Amino acid sequence: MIAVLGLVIGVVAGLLFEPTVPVSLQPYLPIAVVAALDALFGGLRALLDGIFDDRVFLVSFLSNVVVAALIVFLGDQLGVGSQLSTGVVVVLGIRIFSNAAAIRRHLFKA
Amino acid sequence: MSMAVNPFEPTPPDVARDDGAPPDDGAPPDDGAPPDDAAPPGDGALPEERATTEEPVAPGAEIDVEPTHAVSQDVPVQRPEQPGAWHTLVRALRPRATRAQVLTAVLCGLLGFAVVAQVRLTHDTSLSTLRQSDLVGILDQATRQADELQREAATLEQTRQELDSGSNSRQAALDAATRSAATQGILTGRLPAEGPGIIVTLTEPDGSIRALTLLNFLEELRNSGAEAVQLNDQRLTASSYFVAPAEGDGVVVDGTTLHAPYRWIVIGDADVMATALDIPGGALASVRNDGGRGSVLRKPLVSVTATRSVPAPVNATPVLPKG
Repeated sequence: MIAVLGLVIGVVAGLLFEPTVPVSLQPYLPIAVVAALDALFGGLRALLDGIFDDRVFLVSFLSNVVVAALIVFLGDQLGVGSQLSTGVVVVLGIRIFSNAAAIRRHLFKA
Repeated sequence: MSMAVNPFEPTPPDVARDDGAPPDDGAPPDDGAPPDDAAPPGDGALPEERATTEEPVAPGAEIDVEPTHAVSQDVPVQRPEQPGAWHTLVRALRPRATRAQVLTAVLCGLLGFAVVAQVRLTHDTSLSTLRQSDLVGILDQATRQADELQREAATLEQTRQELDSGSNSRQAALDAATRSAATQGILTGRLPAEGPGIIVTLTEPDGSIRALTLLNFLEELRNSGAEAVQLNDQRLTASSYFVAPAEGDGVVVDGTTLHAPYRWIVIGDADVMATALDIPGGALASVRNDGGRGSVLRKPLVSVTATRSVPAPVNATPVLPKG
């Protein structure tokens, strides 16, 4: 409940403050968001698996975001930024899907 | 449900598991999976209803509540699958000010904030968020497109000019054809004409003028530059002929019998024609020899109104000029 509340508060804050993303961060924010979503789904699944751990969740959340952004940054430096970000999104998408499937199996037995 | 219980559960890849799973070094899940001591295994046939009934209990008790049962019960109890998942979810949703809950809330808030910011960014600006290589690609594409359009414009311009000059030349050809048609219309007698010329009247007071005399008269007129000739109501052209009729007087011109007085209307240089007709032994002299009289009247403007239709050539076909 608090987590949902936090999400809502974050969205409202984003709507209220109308943040402007720094130009240097703009290429990495979407990737970071996808990585955070992945971490969120992973945490939910771990919760349903009964192995949720907040420390692990925190670390995985932050490291996911940082690593994803880092990969894209590295790709930009190497000149394959767009391809690499596509790859990262694909991988994270696959993970989100598999986690969502596990959650679904937990909740609906199907 | 834990993964070890059901061997038929498709095992997810390891990479997908590292998010919430505790490390193997034995850090106790201090709150993530609280033991289910409230629900006996047989209970929980209607987990969803429980979820709906339990949620309203939530309000108010969020931050200040002490984490009462965030104690270490080391081993997560394995519960039957049916009630377990929903139960865990409901339990996790229940507001408790545990470290995990607050942490998760903060992270979720961050995520929501970032999502909103990103969505806003995506909606607001399309080009400024792109990275340099994409911008270069777009610029490239735009340049290529512009080049292509420019080429197309040049081609169209050229076509337009061609069409323009084509219509110009067509207009010129049309003008020339019109002029030529006018000239030939006059020459062939299709068109009426007017201009300076002479009117010659031949009478027959003492005899009759022969057809040959009239033919010579016409030839004399042509020699002196007559451009359009009318005899009485007959237009005379290159194919005109004079024949003496089988009986009676007069003369047959182009199938029509004409009688004196003969009235010639001739367009041309009046002075030249009058002089030519009047030379000794000339046309007028011949007329006088036949017993006729002739008078020549010079006019600044005479009208040749008679026309004749020209039959289309049957055997001759025009040959287009080469080139």
